Amino acid sequence: MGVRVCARCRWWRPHFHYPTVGYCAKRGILTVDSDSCPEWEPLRVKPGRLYWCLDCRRRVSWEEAVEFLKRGYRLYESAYVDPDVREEIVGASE
Amino acid sequence: MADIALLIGGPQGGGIESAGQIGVRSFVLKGYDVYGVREYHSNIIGAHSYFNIRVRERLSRSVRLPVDYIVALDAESVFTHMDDVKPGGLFVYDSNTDKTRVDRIVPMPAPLKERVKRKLAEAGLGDTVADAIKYLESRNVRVIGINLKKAIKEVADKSGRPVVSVARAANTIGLSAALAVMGVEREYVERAIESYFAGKKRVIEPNKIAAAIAYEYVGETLGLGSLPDGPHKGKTRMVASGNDVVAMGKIVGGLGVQTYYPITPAADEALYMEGHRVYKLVEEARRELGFDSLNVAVIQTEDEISAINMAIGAALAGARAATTTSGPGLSLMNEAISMASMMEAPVVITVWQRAGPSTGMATRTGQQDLLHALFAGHGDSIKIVVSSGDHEEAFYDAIRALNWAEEFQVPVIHLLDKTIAASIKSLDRFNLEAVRIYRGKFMPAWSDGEYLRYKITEDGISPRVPLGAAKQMNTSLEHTEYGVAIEDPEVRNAMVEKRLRKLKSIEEGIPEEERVKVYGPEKADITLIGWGSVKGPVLDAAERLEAEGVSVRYVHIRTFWPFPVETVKEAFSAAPSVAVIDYNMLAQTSLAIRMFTGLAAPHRIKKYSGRTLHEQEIVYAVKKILSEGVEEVVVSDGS
Repeated sequence: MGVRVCARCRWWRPHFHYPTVGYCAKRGILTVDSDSCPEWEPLRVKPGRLYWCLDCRRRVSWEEAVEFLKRGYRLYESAYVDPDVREEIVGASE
Repeated sequence: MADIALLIGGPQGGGIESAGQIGVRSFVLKGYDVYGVREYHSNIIGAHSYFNIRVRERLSRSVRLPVDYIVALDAESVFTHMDDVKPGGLFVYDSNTDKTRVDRIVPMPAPLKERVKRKLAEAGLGDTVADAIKYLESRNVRVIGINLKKAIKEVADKSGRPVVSVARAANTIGLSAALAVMGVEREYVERAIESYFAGKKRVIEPNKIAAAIAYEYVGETLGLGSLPDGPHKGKTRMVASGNDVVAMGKIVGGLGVQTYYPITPAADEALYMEGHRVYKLVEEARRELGFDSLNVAVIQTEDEISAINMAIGAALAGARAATTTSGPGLSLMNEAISMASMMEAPVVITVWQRAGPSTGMATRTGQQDLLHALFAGHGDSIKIVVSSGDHEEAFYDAIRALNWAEEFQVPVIHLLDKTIAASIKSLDRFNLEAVRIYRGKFMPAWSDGEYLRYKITEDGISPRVPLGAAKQMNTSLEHTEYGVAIEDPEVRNAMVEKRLRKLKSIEEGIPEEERVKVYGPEKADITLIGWGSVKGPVLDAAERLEAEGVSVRYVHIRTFWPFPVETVKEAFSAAPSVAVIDYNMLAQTSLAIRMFTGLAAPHRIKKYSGRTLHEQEIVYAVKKILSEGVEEVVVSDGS
């Protein structure tokens, strides 16, 4: 996989469950991690924001994001969740 | 005789539910009898879940391991289930996960990671998915590695619209690949997709394309399999969960008010009822009542205490009333159960057991609330406790419970468990002609002079009218016949004895044949005693053991209060060996049997891992008891 691919682009939101597929927030379409396009931009961590760490499977603070990027973790502005995910989740309450 | 077992694993929320539902429906449409259980994590999203499906020509009623086919939609499923497939079986997985190391899977429990690494290391392998696949191949398992991301992209390209539901496309591809190898024609999968996603065109089309891609891929690689049609092909059958059928039973049984506070695994019963609360009446009822439809008031309350108290209030107002909950909710309802006993309020408490103590494992199963149910409510609290072993029993028991509550004016606890709640089954239509609704001594109006709510009667049961129909008092305090609070010892004795006579009426009114069902030969090598959802695995294990020359008798307890004393005593005296199935740690079934009969079972088969009981576990335990004479066998299959 090259450097300028969706998996390393700031516009990409990896799917929560199947992260080789994701949503491109720039073009409004689903792409796969190895796709690329001229709109590619690297992720730059901005103070005060939260990020999605694919390797930790959780939201992280911008301070953690800076550290995790140095360690080579896969970080994104958010994850993509299917709009009908609720229908796939059996009720678990209390 | 076809006997196919299929397991679909993946992340919670990642399409496992629809894959399981489509799988079950595909086989039902092909004419088979199908039983499927979902095993899911209490974390709402992302943790490992799976759907285990059993397909037979008739009487699919339990699941077994190892299965014949596995669809692993993520890396965690590959590692978790690499020992759950038979040699010669098929394993479908996402080849994009090949390089994933077991340590990189965040939601996977650390002890499981260690077990997997140890097993792979023992086989001289590393700790990636590719290593697990080599392990499977070394066990003579056929493997299909599907490039899921490429396939999902192809779905998008072919459908000409963006795929918004990635999980559903992924699961349909994986499931369809397995069904193609098994020999289920694509037509059935497409019809199952249309049935499950009815009305959602934007979901149906991409999923049908996903199925087509999988069938094409299998056709070009392993080749499409062949499976004859099953004996039920063309029949109109239902596919329903245990939660669904209890809701159906209550509606058919004339329920007026259902209350609940959301809790796993009970909430889905109430949610199903909310979706079907308005129902049309048959012509005869329309003529009789003067309107076309009726409805059930389904009310979500602020907690379980409110839920049962509201149900008691509804019962006093004349409605057939019930509430639904699980163990933690039953704890909160205890005081009100006692109050219902004292007030003689007919209320049904449906209890879907799950793994405790406390909140324990909310989405896991077991039979840990038997003693809790038997002793629910303080102070000589009278009640009926009924339990159901499968979907058919659950439907009719929901009606029986409503009838008994009103006939004997007591709370009725209907015990079920998560396995029944979360299992999907193919069913013939229920026999509504056999359904009878009894309201006992309930009368809508009173015109016979002074009304005594707690009138002393020979059978201990007093005439009952709804609030507003006559001047009456209902109280949690000891009371006179009228209902006025009193502590006079003679009145107290008279009232206690009235309630005691009611207990006798229950004993006489629920005959032995309604309390227990016995399966298998009278003279068997071993007699098993159990209740609830253990019925399916025990009967399937009995069939398997019979084929190996071991005869099994099964005593299936249907009510615990009143208890089938005579049948259970007879079972102990007739069999050379008796084992009780205790789906809990404390051997609660054994303790209850001892309490009611004075007899101690020489053997116990226990399971308390919170996972569904499987056929092979009973086979293993019976063989161990018969060959080694061990007192207790603990089984623990299932991830």
